[in-house]
Amino acid sequence: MHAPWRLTALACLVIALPVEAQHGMPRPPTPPRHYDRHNDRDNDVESRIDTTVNIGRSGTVDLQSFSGDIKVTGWDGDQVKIHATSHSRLNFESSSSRVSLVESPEHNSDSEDDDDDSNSRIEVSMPKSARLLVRSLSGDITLRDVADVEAHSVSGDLDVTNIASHAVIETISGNATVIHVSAGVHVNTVSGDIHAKQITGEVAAQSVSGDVVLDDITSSFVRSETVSGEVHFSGPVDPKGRYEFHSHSGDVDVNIANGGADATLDVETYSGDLDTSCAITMQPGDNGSRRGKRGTFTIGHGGGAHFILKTFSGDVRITGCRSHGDK
Amino acid sequence: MTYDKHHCDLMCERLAAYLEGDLTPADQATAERHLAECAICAEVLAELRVIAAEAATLPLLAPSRDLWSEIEARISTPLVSLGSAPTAVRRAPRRPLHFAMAAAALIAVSAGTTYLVVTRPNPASTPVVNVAQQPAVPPATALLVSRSKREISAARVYDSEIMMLDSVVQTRRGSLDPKTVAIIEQNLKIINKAIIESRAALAKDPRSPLLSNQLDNVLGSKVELLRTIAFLPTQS
Repeated sequence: MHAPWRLTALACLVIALPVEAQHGMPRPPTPPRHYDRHNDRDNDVESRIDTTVNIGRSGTVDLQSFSGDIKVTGWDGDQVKIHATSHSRLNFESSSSRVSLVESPEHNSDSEDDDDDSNSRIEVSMPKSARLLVRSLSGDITLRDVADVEAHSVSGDLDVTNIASHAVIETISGNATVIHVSAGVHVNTVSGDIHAKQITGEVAAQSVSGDVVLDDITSSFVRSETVSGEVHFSGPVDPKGRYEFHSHSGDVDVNIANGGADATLDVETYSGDLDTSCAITMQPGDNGSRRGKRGTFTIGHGGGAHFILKTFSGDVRITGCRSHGDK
Repeated sequence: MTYDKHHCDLMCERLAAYLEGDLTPADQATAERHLAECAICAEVLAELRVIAAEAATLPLLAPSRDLWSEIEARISTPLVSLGSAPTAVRRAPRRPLHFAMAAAALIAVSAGTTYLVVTRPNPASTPVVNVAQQPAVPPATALLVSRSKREISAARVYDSEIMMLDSVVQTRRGSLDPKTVAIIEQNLKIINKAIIESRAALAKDPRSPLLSNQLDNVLGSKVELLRTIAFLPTQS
């Protein structure tokens, strides 16, 4: 269960996109030197912005796209460099601490082919330590080498790599790939798959029908949940860690990278199987069956990390364990 | 009235914290200055306070068993297809940002209510009180009974929130991308199937913590999905 006020904050951020874009709230005029609209092809009007502004390393970059892809790369400077083209209106604002670029849904083109957004694109280089907010309807989002990231899309894929701090990633049908994050991730999809790799810090990954693959996770708190997707986790175990994996009809697959660790596992599957190569010890009072039942098991000496693995009709697999003394 | 995008966005982000008194003194002062100048945000805050006050008057939910069949029937009700979705009742036009923020506030309060009900311990579930006052009931039985009440309470809250969110979603479906709507429909069916399976299993094995948790999880997933839909950007 997520804290509701945190959800509200996210909701406020997301909802700002369509409301403003649809109804054209007043905003300061865009500096002409940054902005160019011209006829490229017949009646097709293209908006273009090429500009560089200084926001400092603790500023915020806010990008909103309806159809175009967004690509952001962090660099060592204090400046934000923007190159954007769109067949819709581009609204640009900047201050000493914030840069905002919003692609309007209003198409400039008189062309019949309003779905041709192949030329719509936002490319940004920004200070590595600045905060980044990105929202896209159907465009893909690619983020590299930044610090604090919040990215939302509806159908676009999200590809996020090398995040120095925390990342919040949400999409409906896009796939979310998150690699090398230093201070935890929070990933939500509806139908898209989630692949998080080389994550340090707390991990929360949730999907309805997408698979959740968590590879090489170094964390003391991991929670993952899907309804029909599968859950896979691999990573070293923190002796004080909590690792919680739920699926309704998907399998839950856990590979303990430092399998010599002590751990206690609460495993439940209603109609699935438990499959493990680990030398597990049943706890008193458990039913003793490995099929379709509940059990609390220990690895090593017990105690230590706490795993909760639950699925209604999927199987639970636990691998990677080594006996104490194995190398 | 002054509309300033940056400050209104900031206020929107901080509205809940402001209401709960969680802002720093500096942020609190900034928020109050903005609220004094911005009629839109001030009105949203006022509405949020009303909703929160009304939510606070809701009784602690502990319905009797006889509600169960009705709850189950409603949650198991198949989704209305898009083609037959009722047309939203048209109301007097309001400022879109106002409506959006009010919707956010409404859903936030609803989320908060759900969060509190499904996570805080039900007073009735405190075994010391139950056992002390009803010595004839074995502690294990008391726990089981109180847990069942709490589960039903949670289910009712989930059901109520699902119904509220579903009505919001129904009014928004026409403005969403059809492909996205199709994906949402498909995933709602997956969740509904999981709810039905969990309920059926729970009926056979009502003492199973796994099944109770499973049902809570899938109901929670449905609420999360409906909330997500309620806030989706409209297609251009």
